[in-house]
Order: sequence, then C-alpha cells, then structure tokens
Amino acid sequence: MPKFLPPVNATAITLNSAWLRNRVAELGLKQWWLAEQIGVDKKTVIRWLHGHVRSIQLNNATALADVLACRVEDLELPREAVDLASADDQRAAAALLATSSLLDTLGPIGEWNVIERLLKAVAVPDLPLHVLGTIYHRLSIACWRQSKLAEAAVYNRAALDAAERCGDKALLGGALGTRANLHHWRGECAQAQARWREGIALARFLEPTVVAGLHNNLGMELYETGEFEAGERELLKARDLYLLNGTPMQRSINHGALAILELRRGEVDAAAPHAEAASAHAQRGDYRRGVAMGALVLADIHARRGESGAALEALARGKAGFARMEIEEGFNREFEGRVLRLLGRYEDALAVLDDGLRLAAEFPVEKAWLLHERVLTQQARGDPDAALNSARQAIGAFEKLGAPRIVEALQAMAARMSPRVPRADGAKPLT
Amino acid sequence: MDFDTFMAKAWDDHATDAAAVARRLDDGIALIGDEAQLNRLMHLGQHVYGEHLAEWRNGVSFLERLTTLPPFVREGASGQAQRRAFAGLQLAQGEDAELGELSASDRIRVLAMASSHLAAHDSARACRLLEEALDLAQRADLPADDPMHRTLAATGNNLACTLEEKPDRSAEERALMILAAQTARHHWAIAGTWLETERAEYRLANTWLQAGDLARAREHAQACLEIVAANDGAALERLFGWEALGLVERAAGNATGHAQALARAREAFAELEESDKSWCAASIDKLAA
Repeated sequence: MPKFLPPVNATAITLNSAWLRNRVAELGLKQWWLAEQIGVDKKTVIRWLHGHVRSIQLNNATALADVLACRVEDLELPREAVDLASADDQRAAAALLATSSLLDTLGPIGEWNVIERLLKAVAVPDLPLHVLGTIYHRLSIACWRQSKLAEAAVYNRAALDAAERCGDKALLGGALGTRANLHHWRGECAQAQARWREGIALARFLEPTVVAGLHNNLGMELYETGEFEAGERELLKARDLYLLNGTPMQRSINHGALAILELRRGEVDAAAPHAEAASAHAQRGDYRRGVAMGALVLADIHARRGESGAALEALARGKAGFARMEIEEGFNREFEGRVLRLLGRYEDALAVLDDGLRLAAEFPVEKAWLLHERVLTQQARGDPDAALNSARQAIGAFEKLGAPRIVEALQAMAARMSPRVPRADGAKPLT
Repeated sequence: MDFDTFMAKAWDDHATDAAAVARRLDDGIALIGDEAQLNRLMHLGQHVYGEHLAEWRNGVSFLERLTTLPPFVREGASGQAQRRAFAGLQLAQGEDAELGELSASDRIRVLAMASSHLAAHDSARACRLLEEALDLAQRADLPADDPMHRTLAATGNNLACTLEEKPDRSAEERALMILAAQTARHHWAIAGTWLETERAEYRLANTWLQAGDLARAREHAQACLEIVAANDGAALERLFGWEALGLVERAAGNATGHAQALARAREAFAELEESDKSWCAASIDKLAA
C-alpha cells in the first residue's frame, strides 16, 4: 500500500483521475473551459487530471459532476490503492530497470529520456499508475521497433496491466495496438484482430492518427489472411482519417497496403495508382523504407503486365534501397521472388524465396506467403512434386494463421497437381 | 446600365432567383469591356449554372460563347479560368474532362469546383471528387501561396455551409459536410491568416453540431475561442466563438456551460459597433432562446 495518502474527510472525496481523464476526453472538454465552468484555475484542473491530487473538495466534486453530466460517485475512486502504483509495481519496475538488456535496448536509439523518466518514476512515492503504465508502453514500442519482440511483450503486458487496473482508456488503446502487433508477428492472427478491434472501440479517447494506424494494421492483417473485402474497408477508413491529418509516411504505408491488397487479389490495374501514390508520399516525406518498398511493388506490377525491362529496373531500385538501409526481411524476398518467377527466372526466384524463408523463420505470416510463392514458382518451373510438397507446407502455415479462404485456394491448386488431394468446390486459385 | 451595376444586381438576386439571373447573363455579355470584366462574368455564370441550377451543359455553352469575345485571351488569365471552369462543369456533368493538360494546381481547383457543383445533387460523387482533390493536393505538395489552397479552403467552407443548412441530410451528405469543413480548416491554416483559421474552427463547431457529435463540436468551439484569445481578436469574433460553444452546451444539456457562454457572448455583443449589433442581435437571441 502507498504510504502517503492524504487524509480523506467527509467534505472531500478521493478522486478517480483515470475516470476523470476518460470523461473529459469523451466530452471533448479542454482544461480551461472545464476550469472556467467550475470556478477554479486551470492548474487545479491539470493537477486533478494528472493524478497529482489525491482528493478534492466535495463542492468541487459536485460542480464537476454537474458539468460532466455524471454522479459524484463516478468521480470517486472505488479502492484508494487502485490508482497508484503499488510497492510491488515499483519493485518490479526497478528490477526490470536493473537488467542490462533494457539499457542495451534503449541506448542505441537514444531513448535516454525514457530511461531517465523510468529511473525517476521508480523512486517517486505514490506514483500514479497511469504514469508507470505510459512508461512501460513507450518502452514496449522502443523494443519492437528494434525487433526485440520478447522484451517488447514483457513491457506491453505491464502497460496493459496498468491500463486495466487504473482504467485509463487512452493508455489501454495504445497498449492494445502494440499487443495486436506482437500477436501479428507471432502469427496469432485471430488474437491480433481482436486486440485491434478492441483498440478501435476506444477511438473516442485516441488521436485520429492513432485510430487510423489501428484500422490500417487491422486491414493489412485481414488481407494477409485472405479477407480482402474486410481488409479493404479497414484500409479505406484509415485513408479517410489520414486524408488531412496523416504524415507522408503514414499515407505511404496506407497506399502501399492498398496496392498490396489489390495484388493479392490479382487486380493489377487497381494496384497501380495506389503503388504510385505510396511512392510519391514516401518520396515527399523522405520515407526511405517506403521508397524502396514502393519500387518493389511497382516491379511486381510491371512483371505481371509483362513489362520485363521496367520490372527489373524497379526491382533493382527497391533492392538497392533496402541494401542501403541494411534491411533484410522475408517480405521483400517474396516480392523479389515473384518478379523473378514472372520473368521466367525460376532458379533465381527459388534461391531468393529460400533465403526469404530463412529470414522469416520467426514470422509466420511472411513465411506462409513465401511458401505460397514457392508453390507458384515450382509449378511454373514444371516440378509438380516439389510444388505439391510446398503446397502442403503452405496449407499448414495458412491453417495455423486462420486463413480459410487462402487454404481453400491452395487446396484447389494442390488438387490440380495431385488427384489424391481432395479439391474444395468452387475454390479460386490465387495468382 | 453599366457592367458593375449589372454584376452587383446579379449577385444580389442569384440566391433567390438563379434562373432569372441565368437568363440575364447574355445582357451582361454586351456590357463587357475588358478581360477582367469577362472573367467576372465567367465566374458568375459558372457559379449560377454550376451550383444553383445544376445546368452544367448550359454552363459549358455559356463559357463557349465567352471565348468568342474579343477580350478573351486564350493564353491569358481568361483562358486559364475558362479551361478550369469548363473542366469543372464537364466533370460535374459526368463527362471526360481534359485534366491531363492542366497543371497540378489547376487540376486540384477543377476537382474542388466540380465537387462544389455536385454537393446538392450527388453527394457521393461530390465526396469522391473532393477526396481526389485532397489526395492530389497532398501529393503535389505545392507552396502555401499556390491558389489551390484558397480554392480548397473556400470551397470546403461553402460546401459545409450549404450542407449544414440542409434538412434530412443523408449519411453521404453528412460525411461530405464534415470533410468539407475539415478541408477548409486545413487549407486556411496553410494559406490564410489566423482570422480565417479561427472562422474555420467556428465552421467545424457548427458542422459537428449539425452532425450530432457534441464532443467534437465542443473541441472546435473551444479551439475557435483559443485562437481569438491568442490573437486578441475583435469582439465580433469572440461573440461567434461563444455562440458556438453555448449552442453545444445547450445541446449537451449543460445548463452551467450554456449560461456562462451566453453571459460571455453578451459581454462581447456589448462591445460591438452599432452597425454590427443590428445583424448580430439574432445570434444572441438564438443562443438565449
């Protein structure tokens, strides 16, 4: 239990600051207008909102309840300890901080301010729980951005725990987005989708671009599991939210996703304008990963149209871009492999895909699509036995992801390769 | 009647009897003396045929007549304006417009114009055209002094105003109204002064109020007042900021907030010039009712 809770008497209540923050965000109230209506100064309101004050006078609580259209009881903390980090919370934070991996993780990317804040926070008595939760949330983001997924998961669990205990919905929405990303990278698609949807349900408490990011990621997850129409709906919601507020990078990612969705469902002409938009936004925002990815997507489009010269030129640009950034990943190899396959360079394509499978070993979604591409390449090379074997692996991979439409399409392909594998009626092969 | 008198009368009458103004446009042709006057008549004709009457083909015919007049300069300002207006009316009509030959700035302006022409007639297409204009504007990344910013801002404001007044808005019209008001705010922040940005916040507050999202309406009414305060704005601006916030609080059932906003609006009203008081009294009455 925290040691220094101020005494509460009959003329005051213990304030539930998380509930207050949620309600103020829900109503779109600014601090100055809330302060003016209640007849206190803005700094007082800021202290209430940030949990710097444990109790408020009953007359202020009554005025707050009037303006916020709620009951005084809603403003009161049900259990006094729930809004504060416990001694155990703070000991756990100190233990995490003491591990060298934290400093290794954050040092190279210059997150020293995060380290400093965490150090200070751990030493503060009666630390508001949402502050500790926010620090954990930022730590988890810093970790996944460096592909340190195990550490990211630890901090994310701590952030979610803090958000749920104190009821801070803005923190909860952000942490759910990170949790969803982590599920996605582990190939736990159903869980990822559920977490993104839970985050989207908290849209009222989040910045529009954060909400757009949740829609965008959910959309990508949906089309990667064969749910093209649902994925497109989510991506278009993100596009609308980004239309006026999005950064060039966000808009590039969104258009890139729309282009890839169209390619996944074989709509090359529909993919082209999105690919061009993705590249244009990436260049405008000096988003180098987007520029390189845009070139790979354009190479894919050219190859599907039989424009081999343009395809090879775009492919070279994309590969050079990723090489300059020293980024190697399975997702890029899938595009490279497909371009080479469509240009008839099957051996080169297979070598690239095998390299991609090595890189994607820990990323089941990428791995599944690489296997899918390998089936098509082996089939094109005239090697039905190898293709059938890859198809079985791909079916298993997509089954694990929970992608029934793609599984069905692959089964149809496999059925054509071997009469022993039953064919699902009406299944349309993917291209 | 001279050209200026003709134009003043036409603009006065066009909102109440657009068809009659359209019939009189040929009388205006006879009064044109130079390219600037031709441009003014072109703008009137495009507005009346394009937005009020939705007679886009007649608008195109009118523009074609203007191109045969001696003051028309194909490579001058009148030629550029004619090509934009022509393409805007063609797009509204659903015909292929020659956008490829226009500069990025002109393409954006044409798309915005066409969206405005369609707002009251086909909100789904109007919304798509405005989205296309915004997407192109983002990608083109034109400087703040490019005229397309002002076109988008003014078009957005006018579109939002039109749709706010419309009873029984469809879901598509609601979406277009919100996007239009957001467009105005975004592009006035780039191309306008604090005053235009503040008024765009006022517009957004009213738009969200009409759209039934009181939290967002409140956010923008407060933002409007913050901009006025930061720039020591005139009483007129304060009055309308408090009017917007008061209307939101009344709709939300917040009697305390409504009473305070009304009191502040009355303080601002008391500081107005007499000439402004006459037309602003209705706002106070509306807020107090």
